[in-house]
Amino acid sequence: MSERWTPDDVWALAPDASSRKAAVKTAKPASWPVRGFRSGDSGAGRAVWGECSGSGSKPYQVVVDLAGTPASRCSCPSRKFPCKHALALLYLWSENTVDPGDPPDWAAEWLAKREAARERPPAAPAAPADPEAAARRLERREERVAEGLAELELWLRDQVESGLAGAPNLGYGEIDSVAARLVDAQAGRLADHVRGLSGTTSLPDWPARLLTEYSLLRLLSAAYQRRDHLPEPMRATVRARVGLPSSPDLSAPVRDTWHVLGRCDFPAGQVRGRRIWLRGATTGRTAMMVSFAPEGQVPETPVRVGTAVDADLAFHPAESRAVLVALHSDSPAEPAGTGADDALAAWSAALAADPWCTAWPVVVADAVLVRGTPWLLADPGGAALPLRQDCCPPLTAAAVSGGRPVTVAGEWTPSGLRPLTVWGPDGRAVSLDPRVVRA
Amino acid sequence: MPPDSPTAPAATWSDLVSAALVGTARRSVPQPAGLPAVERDDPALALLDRAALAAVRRRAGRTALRVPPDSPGRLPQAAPDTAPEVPGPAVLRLSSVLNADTPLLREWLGLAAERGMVVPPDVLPDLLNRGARDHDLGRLMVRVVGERGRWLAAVSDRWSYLDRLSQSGEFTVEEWRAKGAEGRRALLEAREPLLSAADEPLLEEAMADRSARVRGIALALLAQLPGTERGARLADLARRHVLLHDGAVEIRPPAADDPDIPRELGLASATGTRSEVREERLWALVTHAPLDCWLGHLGADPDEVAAAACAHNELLDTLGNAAVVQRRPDWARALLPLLFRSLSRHHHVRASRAHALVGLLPPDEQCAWAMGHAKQAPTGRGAASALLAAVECVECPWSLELGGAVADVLAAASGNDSGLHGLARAAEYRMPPELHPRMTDAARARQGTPSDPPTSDELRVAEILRSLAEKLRVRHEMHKEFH
Repeated sequence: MSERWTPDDVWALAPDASSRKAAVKTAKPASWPVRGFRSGDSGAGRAVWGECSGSGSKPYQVVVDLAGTPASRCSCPSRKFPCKHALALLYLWSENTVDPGDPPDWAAEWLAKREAARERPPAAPAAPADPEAAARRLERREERVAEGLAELELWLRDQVESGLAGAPNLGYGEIDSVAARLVDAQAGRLADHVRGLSGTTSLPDWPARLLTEYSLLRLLSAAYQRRDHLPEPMRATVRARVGLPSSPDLSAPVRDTWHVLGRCDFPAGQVRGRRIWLRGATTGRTAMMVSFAPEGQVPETPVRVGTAVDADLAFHPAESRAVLVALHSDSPAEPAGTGADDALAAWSAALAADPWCTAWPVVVADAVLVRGTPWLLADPGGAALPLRQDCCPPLTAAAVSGGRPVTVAGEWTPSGLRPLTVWGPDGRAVSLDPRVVRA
Repeated sequence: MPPDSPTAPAATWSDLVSAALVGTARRSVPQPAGLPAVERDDPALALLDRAALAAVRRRAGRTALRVPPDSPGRLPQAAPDTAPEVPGPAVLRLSSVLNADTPLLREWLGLAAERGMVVPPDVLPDLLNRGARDHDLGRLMVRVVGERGRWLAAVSDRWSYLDRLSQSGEFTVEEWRAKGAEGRRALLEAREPLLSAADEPLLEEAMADRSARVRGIALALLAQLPGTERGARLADLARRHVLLHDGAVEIRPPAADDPDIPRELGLASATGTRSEVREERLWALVTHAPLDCWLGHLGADPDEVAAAACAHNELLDTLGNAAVVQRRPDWARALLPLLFRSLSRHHHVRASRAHALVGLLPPDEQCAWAMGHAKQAPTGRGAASALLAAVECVECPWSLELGGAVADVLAAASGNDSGLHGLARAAEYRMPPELHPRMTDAARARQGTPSDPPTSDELRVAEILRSLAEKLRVRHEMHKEFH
C-alpha cells in the first residue's frame, strides 16, 4: 500500500470490534497535541507517530512503522496489538488530520532500530553456540526434574498414607506450594497440571478423580526414574509429559493430505494455548499442532478447520505433536468417520501408547445428537458417546445438524466427548471453538 | 452416568478408593483382581501403583452406550429452508453488532427480513439468546431465523418465546379458549394485523375475561374496528359528556358512581379522589369512543373538530391519544399541526403523542411533514434545535431529501446550538447512510490542522460530526454487505 490509507485499511488491522470502538473514541484530534508522519518518499521508511494525552500524567507515545508489515509501539500497558492508540493515530492520519514532519527522538530511535534489522540478512537457524555446554545444561535440568518428581512422589505417598479424606481441607496453599517446588525444579508443565488439581475436591465424585490423578502422577514419576530402561517411544512420551523440551524431526517431514479436524483453546499457566488436530488421509496418522499466545491475543492458527491441506509436517517424538513445514494447497473437505465403537477403540490404542493422554481426536460419521442428561452422539447403529457436561446442551451443533445425520469431529476425554467441529448436511464445516476449563 | 464408568469389577476400584480415603496407615491395600500383581514394601506406593493400573484400565475400557431407534431424546428433522442465506460478509457483521449495538442490530435484522433472507444455522444460538433478553428484537428475528430457527427454538426451553412471537394470528375460538390467560393475550396480540369485522364476537367474549390484561388488549383491538356495537354505545356515552354549547366545547365529567363507563370499558374499580376518578373515566371514554362520533357533533370534519377542541388542552391531547389507539392516520393529519405547535411551544415534545401520531402516517408522508418544518425553520443559531423538534418524531428511515436537509443544518451548526447533539444523535440511525462522505467533509472543515488550530467550539462540533460520519460509514458498509 503506497497510497494514503483509507479508514477501512486501518480497521482491517483492528484485532476485534471492541478495539475499533475504543479507537474511534480515542481519535479526538484534541487529545493528540503531537502528531506527525513521514511519507517515505525521502528514503527513510513511511511512519506515523503521536503523543496521546490519556488519563495518566504522562502522554502515551505511539509510533507506527509502515515500511513493511505494519508494526507499532506504544507506551500504554495494553496487551492488544495494535493497541487502540495506534489504531486511533492511523485513523486520524487516514482522515488527513496529521501533518508531515520529522519524528521526535523517541520515535526516530525505534524506527532506526527496525530499519537496521530489516537490512540485516535473516540469521541462520540458531545452532547452540557450544553443543557441549548445551548438553550439560540439559543433563542438569533432567537431574533437577528428577529431584522435583522425587519430592512430589513423597508428598503423594504421605497423602495416601494419611488418607485422601483430608484433601478438601488441604487448602489451595498446600497444593500451590507443591506446584511451586515443581516450577523450581523446571518441570513447569507438571506444575500447571498439579495446580489444576486444586478444584477437584469440589466435584461430586472427587475421591475417585483424585485417586486417579495421584496414581497417574506416581506412574509418571516412577516411569521417569526408569527412563533409561524404557523403549524409545515411551521414553519420549515420559520426557514430554514431565515438560522436558523436544524438537520436531525436520529431517523426515511427512507429506499427506491432512484433514484439519478441529481446534480448541486451553489455559496454560499465564498464557492461552490452542491445539489443532489433523489426520492424514493416506497415512491415517494423527497430528496435533500446539501454539501459545498471551491472554487477549490469538495463538497462531496456520491451518483452517474444515479443510484438507496438502502439507509436510515434522513430528516431535511424542504426543503426536507436529509442526507445519510446508503447505502446498488447501481446500474445504469433510473427513471420513467411523462409528462410536471404533472411536473408543482408537482411544484405547492411544492410551496404550500414552497412559497420561486425556484427549484424543475422533470422527463419527452420520451421527445424530440425542437429547438427555448428558446429551449423546449416536451413530447409525445406535452406539453412542456421551458428551461432556461442560459441552451440554450442544445447541450450535444441533442447529447445524437440523436433526439430520452429520459428521462430527471431537476430542474423546475421560469425562466424555468434547465436540469440536460439525459438517452440516450441506457439507459446510462449523468450528464450535470450545474453550477448555479443566481436563 | 458418571465419567470413567467402570468395566473392571466395580468393587475393585471402589475398594481402592475407600482404602485411599481412609489412608494406608489404617487400612490394608486391596489387590484388584485381573490386574498384574504389584508388590511394594511401602503400602502407600503399592496402593498408588495398583490404582494406576486400575485407572488406566477403566479409561481404556470405556464402551459405547446404546440408543434405541425410538428413544424420545432423538430430535425430529427440521423442515428445509428455501429462503436464500444472508451473504458471508453480512454474517460477520452480525456477530460484531449482536451484543454491542442494538439499533444497528435492529437495522441489520430489518435489511435481512426485507430481502427475505435467513441466517446460517451456526449463528442461531447467539441470535436467539439475544432475542430472549429483548423481545422487541425477538419480534424482528421471527422472519430471519427461518425454519431451522423455529425448529431449534423447540429444542431449548430458553427460546420458547419465539413460538409465542411467531404466532400467525390464525386460530379458532376453541383453541383460544383452551389457552391460559397469557396465551389468550398473546393470541389476541398476534391477531392485530388480520383484524376484521368478523372478530367482534371473539373480542366481546374477551371483554368479559377474568384477566385484566386480556380485557385491556380486547378493548384496544375493538377500538380499531369500525362499526362495532360497543363502539356505538361508547359514541352515545361520549357525546353525552362532551358537547358544543354556544359554539364552545363544554365538558361534563360523569358522576363518580356512574356505572356506564366502567362497564363499557371493562374497567376495574377506581382509586383516587372523586374528581380524579371522574376525570380519568371521561378521558378513557374519549380515547375509546370512535373518533367519527364527533363529526356533526363538534365539527363537520376532523379539522373542524380539532379546531374546536383547541380551546381545551386536555381534550385535544386525548383526541390525539384516540387517533393513536384507533390507528386513524386521517385524524392524525388533522390533529398533528395543532398538537405539535402547542407542544413545541411548551418544549415537552417528548411527553406528547406527536411521535406516535407521526408514526401513523406512511413513511414518505412522515418525511414530507418533517421537510415542511425544515423549510420553515430559522437558519443560523438555533436552526438545529428547531429542526430537531420535528425530525425527532420521524422514526422511520429518512428520505434522501430530509437527510440532506439535516446534513446541511448540521454542517452549518454553531457549537452553542443546544439542539446540535440531539440532531446528530437522531441522524445516526435514520439518515441515509450513503450521506457519510458529506458528514466526513463537514467534520474535516471544522477540524483545522496543527498549523491552523481550531477554536474549542469548532473542535466540539467537529467531534460530533466526526462520530456521526463514522456511524453512517459503518451503516453504509453494512448495507453494501447485503448485495
